[in-house]
Amino acid sequence: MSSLTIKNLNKIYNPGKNEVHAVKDFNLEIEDGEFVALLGPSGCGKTSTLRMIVGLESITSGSILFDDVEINDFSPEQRNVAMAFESYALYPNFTIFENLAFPLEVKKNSSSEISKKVGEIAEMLQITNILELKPNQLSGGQQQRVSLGRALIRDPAVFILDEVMSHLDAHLKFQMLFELKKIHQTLKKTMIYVTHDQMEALALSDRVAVMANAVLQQFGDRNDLYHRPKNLFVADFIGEPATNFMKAQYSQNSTMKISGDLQFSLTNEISSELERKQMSEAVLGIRPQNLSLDPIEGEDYIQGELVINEFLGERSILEIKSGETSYKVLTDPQKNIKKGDSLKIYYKKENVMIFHPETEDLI
Amino acid sequence: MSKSNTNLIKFLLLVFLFVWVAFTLFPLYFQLITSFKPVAEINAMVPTFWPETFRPSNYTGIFADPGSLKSLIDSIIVSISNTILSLFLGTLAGYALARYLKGVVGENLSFWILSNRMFPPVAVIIPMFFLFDATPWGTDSYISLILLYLVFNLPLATWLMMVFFRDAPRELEEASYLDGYTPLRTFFRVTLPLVFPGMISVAMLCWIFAWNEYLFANLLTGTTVKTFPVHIPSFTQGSQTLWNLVMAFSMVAMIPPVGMFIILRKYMVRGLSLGVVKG
Repeated sequence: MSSLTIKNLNKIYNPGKNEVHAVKDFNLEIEDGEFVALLGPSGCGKTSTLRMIVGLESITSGSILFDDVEINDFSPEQRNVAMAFESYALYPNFTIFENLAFPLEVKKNSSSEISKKVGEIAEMLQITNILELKPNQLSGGQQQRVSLGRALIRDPAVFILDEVMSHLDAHLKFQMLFELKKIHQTLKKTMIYVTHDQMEALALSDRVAVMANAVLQQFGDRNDLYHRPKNLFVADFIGEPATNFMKAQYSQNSTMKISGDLQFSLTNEISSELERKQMSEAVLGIRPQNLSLDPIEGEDYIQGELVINEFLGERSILEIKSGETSYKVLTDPQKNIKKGDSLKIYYKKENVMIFHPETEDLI
Repeated sequence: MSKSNTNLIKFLLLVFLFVWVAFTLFPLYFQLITSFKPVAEINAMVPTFWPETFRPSNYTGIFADPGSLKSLIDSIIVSISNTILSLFLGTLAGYALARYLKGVVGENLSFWILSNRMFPPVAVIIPMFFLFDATPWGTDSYISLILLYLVFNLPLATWLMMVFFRDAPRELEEASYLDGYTPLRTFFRVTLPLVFPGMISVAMLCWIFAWNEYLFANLLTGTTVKTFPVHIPSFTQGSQTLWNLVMAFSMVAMIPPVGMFIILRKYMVRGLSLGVVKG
């Protein structure tokens, strides 16, 4: 077990001509035993980051520390990290038993010791009945477990999972997420889970590092990401359905005008901040979950016309139009309203997020 | 397409295949029956398609000449040594090209290696003779022939092994590094088993080339070392070629490659799609 510290990490591919700056000034501190997700869209640099952590990629500049020991120049073996691959990377010519025993063989464990450890891991992952099979005889979920098992069996300092759920179907994924969480709670190991799926990241991890365009955008727990997103990207990326964003003008009486009659009231803190910065234009964001059809005592409301009622069984997503602006509202299932109905939509002032129009940072 | 049309196409395809098989197998058939005929029947004006006098003793007759057996042994020595060398060097070179030499340098180098196989061998036959004549062991030796065949087999082996290694998923090697294996151990433990069927195919190609080669063997060797293709023309009596013995000896010389192909067929067919890497 170790804590993991990353300081000013940079990765540049092909320095000079056609250079690609894949990771820019990346800083992160992960505590011992913590489960952290590295979340970001494809090509944001998360895989490069983790390959530098495990030692499969050289570090252009910056440093990586395990328990305050710099490991930049250590080989993957010396770092004692385990990794489960997106593609599972099971050795096709070996049986499942041999696959699981592979990391132990090199450490010169006795064969009885190996059998014992393989047995324990197989039991934990419920794969005891397939130990004699070859990887290509297994289903995706079983291969997934074996690949987790091969990583777990070594008792590594840091455990890295690279998009390990992306090839599983939704049902199996849900089940594996649950089991992975259980495994983490039992082993209490430092785990880094790399994914592009916010649902997986939020469901599993203690804290989430959101990455985009080679830069770490925000590192925090789900509450931070959800209610205090650092910038427009995080607000947009986290949350389903996506946050409503609107261009807005600030008017003196603590309100943001969108267009026509549509306007939102602001809390005193935000409006004084806007006044202090003398900002007249901004981007307003509000989550569909924070808009409601039920009247909230003493709260403000906006008015609009229903365009689409997307009924999803246990909830409805409504698309509402006020003047030229349309936005989404997530509500309990709505059966009795139809297209063209005029609706009052309530919100709380403190749920209105205001972003700087150029830097896109939260105000 | 209507059903009768598909049936017609199937029928025409069958006819074509039948003609093709007959066309390719007839020489083999003729060789086989000739090897059992007496000389008089071979020299008959109208050829017979089944031996009128059946003479299996041709097969023992060829070994009356002690050179026959020795030529087969020489062929085995040369072809097997050459195959082992080609495979060993080709595998290492192919791995290096596939994994470490990428981009413009790698592409050009690998193509240059393959291009060595493209020129007509006869173009270099005179230089080769003088080159090997200048070596301490001279032209008429096992080692000269083994090295010479390397000129043709090594580019092929290197190129093919490179292609096989490129197809072998890199992630398996990375997983092995993380599991604590050194690159060399990973190569032997993880990567090589992945390309094993490919290695068998390459070995077969190299071995068959070395087994059948006539042009260089005839020019460079012939006294101390004499491979079987060079030995075949020696079945003459005065001005007459004993075709029955030539055919019988050729039949015997065909046994090793055919046998080996039958034994190793499953590896050659299996190909490389063994990996379980998804995505």
